Amino acid sequence: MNAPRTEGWEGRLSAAPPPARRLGGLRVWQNNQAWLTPLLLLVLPVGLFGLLIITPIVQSIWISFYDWDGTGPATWVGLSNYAELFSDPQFYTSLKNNVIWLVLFLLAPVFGLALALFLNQALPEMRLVKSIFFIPLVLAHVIIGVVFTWFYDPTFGLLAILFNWLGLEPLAILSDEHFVTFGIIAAALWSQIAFCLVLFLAGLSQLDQELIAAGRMDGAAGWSLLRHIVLPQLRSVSFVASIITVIMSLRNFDMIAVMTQGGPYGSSTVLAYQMYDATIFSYRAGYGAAIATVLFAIMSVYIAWFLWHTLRREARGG
Amino acid sequence: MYPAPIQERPRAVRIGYRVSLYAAMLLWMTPLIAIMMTAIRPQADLLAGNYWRLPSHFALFENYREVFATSPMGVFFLNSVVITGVTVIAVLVLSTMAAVALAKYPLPGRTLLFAMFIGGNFVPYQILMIPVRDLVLQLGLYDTVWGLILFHTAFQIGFATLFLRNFIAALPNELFEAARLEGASEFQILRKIIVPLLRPALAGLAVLIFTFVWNDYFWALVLVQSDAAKPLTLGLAGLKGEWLTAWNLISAGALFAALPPVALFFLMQKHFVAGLTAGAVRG
Amino acid sequence: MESYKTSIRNFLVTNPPDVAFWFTGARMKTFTKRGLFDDMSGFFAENNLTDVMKPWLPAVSEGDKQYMMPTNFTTWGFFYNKQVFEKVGVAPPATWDELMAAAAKIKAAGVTPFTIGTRDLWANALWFDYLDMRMNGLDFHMQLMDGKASYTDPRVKAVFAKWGEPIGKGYFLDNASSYGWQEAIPFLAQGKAAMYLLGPYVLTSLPAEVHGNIGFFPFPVIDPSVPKAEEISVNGVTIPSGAKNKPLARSFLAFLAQPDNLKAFALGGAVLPARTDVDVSGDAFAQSQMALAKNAQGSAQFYDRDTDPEMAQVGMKGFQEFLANPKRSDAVLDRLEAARQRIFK
Repeated sequence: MNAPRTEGWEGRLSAAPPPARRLGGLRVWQNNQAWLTPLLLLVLPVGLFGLLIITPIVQSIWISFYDWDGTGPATWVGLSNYAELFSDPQFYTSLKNNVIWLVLFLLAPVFGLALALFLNQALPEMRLVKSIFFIPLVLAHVIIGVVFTWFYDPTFGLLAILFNWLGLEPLAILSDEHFVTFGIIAAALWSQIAFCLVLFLAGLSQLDQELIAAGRMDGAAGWSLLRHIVLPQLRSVSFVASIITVIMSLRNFDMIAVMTQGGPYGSSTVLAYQMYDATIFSYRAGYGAAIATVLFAIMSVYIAWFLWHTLRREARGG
Repeated sequence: MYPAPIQERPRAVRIGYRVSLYAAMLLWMTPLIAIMMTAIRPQADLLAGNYWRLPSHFALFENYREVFATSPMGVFFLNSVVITGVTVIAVLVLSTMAAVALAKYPLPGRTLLFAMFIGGNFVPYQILMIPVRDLVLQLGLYDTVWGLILFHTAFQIGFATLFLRNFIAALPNELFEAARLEGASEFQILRKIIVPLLRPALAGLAVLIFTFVWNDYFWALVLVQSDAAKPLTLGLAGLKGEWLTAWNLISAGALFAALPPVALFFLMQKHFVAGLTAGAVRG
Repeated sequence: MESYKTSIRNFLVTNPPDVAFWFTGARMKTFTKRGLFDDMSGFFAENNLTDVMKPWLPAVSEGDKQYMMPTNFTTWGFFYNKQVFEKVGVAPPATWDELMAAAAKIKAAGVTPFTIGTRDLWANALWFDYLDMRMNGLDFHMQLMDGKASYTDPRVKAVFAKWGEPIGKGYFLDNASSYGWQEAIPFLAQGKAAMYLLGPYVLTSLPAEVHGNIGFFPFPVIDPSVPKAEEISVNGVTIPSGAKNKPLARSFLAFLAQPDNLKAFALGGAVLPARTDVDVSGDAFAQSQMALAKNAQGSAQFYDRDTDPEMAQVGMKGFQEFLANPKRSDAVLDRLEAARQRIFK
């Protein structure tokens, strides 16, 4: 941001001419509007955000210490929901799947960057081509899930036809406990790659042309130019793309719900889905809240990292 | 420019590039091409096992007639429009207010508030699920579009405030001081100076929030249960079970649900991309 | 539906409507225990319903008080493709051995004997319920549902062993967990599969013109010495304790209970009205279901209605796993037993 940073107008307020004498109430307002205005502006947004986002986080953590079916009386059970969770084999399946999601999702920035480099050309039709590559980004995960479910259908899906054509027995991806998670991740990656592509294309368009020209002058080209001159300039984009990708990977719910409902027998369940399953199907709000709290704790690490990065950049001045 | 412009390369490379570009595009689009092909396929083709070859005739319109005759798709669509429309407007108003306050007034703890908005934007939804569901039930808004609107508005305020604050912070302070010297009140400044300058940012933000809210499935699942209040995503997921293997109808329905965000994206692509990359690129 | 199952728990407390539709049996008792349903004991005598609703009153009773009015019920059994049976030359079986023999012939003809979709879990529980009721009797089955019998009991292991026969021989649809319960129906209708153990939803999910080709037979006998109980799921309607217009609600229920109204209400959803004197003579399928219900020597409701909801979720996932991997039967039962001990402590 190139705007010159000044002291801010507040420093000059006292120099403003004194307000004309009017009705008492109005005068109080006029004398104090400099500090009342921001408060008035913030009341509603902060109130809503506090009521519906911040308070529920605290409440959920609180509920996780209770045995509660969602409506009746709740009994304080201390840490026993957590004790049960840590001895629940489903928890470890979910956690393992979360790790698989996280690791494979990090392919999205890599592919996104590769695709961005591939598409960063000034052909006349490029605008349209790029928009087509962006489309998965605006599609609902539910729709992507429906389409891929059908792709994977073991009797008449495109994949089954491909397998038959190759002379192989079709693989029922979504009912095989070993492949199911990978099948869902492949569908989710489609839109996540598109997201990273948008970021990297924007990053590439902002490269310092002089640095690149100088690099070329020094004989750098291709890979070495990418490594030593281009990538360092994309550091910030890569960071944001990676962190958001990680957060997305941990948050994924829609596709699992639509494609497998966590099955077969819980093998594609992740923490986010297990929490929903425990609360909605098994009426165990306390246990569900404990799962959510664990997920929240894991994600807090990345959220904090992102916050730190953003605030530090703020402090540096934009 | 990196990579080196293709125009500077030999002809063979240029042709090779174009070919691989279109091949990649085709591969990338396979899922979408498949659902478009199926949406125009008559039911008879599917029954005859013709899933992936050319449709025997163009049946898009009869499929849509069937979709709207056998399902409350029209109701789902209206619900999605109301939920998304009201949320977008409410978020734009509320987050402009919050962003101005955070960007241009020296408030104690404004960094904390700002951090709260950013952090809240990324929390896993699941931690909010039980208390939000209870709250919405207690307010009597369960199973109405208003419960969804209330929650989406609150949730999107975080992202929108972060987004707008950066824009407002970049506006020169002199502008406001001059207005103030001329006797403009704080609210006049907001209305007459800030909002007009924010217009492009608000447009980008509106498209982004539209996409987020339109595509939501989780909260619809948690806060709504009857057809009368279901948005398209939830309705479509339910119809998938009801229509069995009538993939032509499911595809037609999916296309219908995907159309508004895709159309909006094409119309406002510049704003959309600018919005999504704001803050990510520089720094 | 799943969402309604959870939300009713909240709105009964926070914002009770005047009437609420719900399941009877164990699922009703969850609420009557908390006093959320009005006592309707006098209602049946006042409206001359005691006799005509007699078969369903136990399902809505707790002690000697009634808390719901039964509205409709669903029976379950095998729906089969008549053309396939004719082509292969088998008749609807009456015993387990006949069923297995028929399945063998059907399989040999290149048709899948049993279609099933287990992605949404519940359809598969019918196999467990019926095998348990046919082999071990209703009393043991209900003990198991109440958490009083063990899942590692030899009798339950025997059920899994019996179930393992058709699974091991490949009689079930491949990759059943790829399909929702509805998505497995077209296999039956198209003649790619021969039978589906399910409820009348098979018919409502199919266009009317194919109904004529779909037949029905009850779950066959396994042990003739065990009384033939059936799975009959009864739905009803109640007046929440917090309802604002109770007299109005009562007159609405009395109106709904009129034979014609109840019939229209139930048949709209392809289920049967919970009144013995409703005329269903025009509908052969409804008649057969009514007869099945009348002749049943006892009934269970359904796995996920009879046992604790959490147990049901764990159990049905176990059944799904067993169908896909019959070799894991012991591991699955051990897990179910561990869950039972935790849930019914």
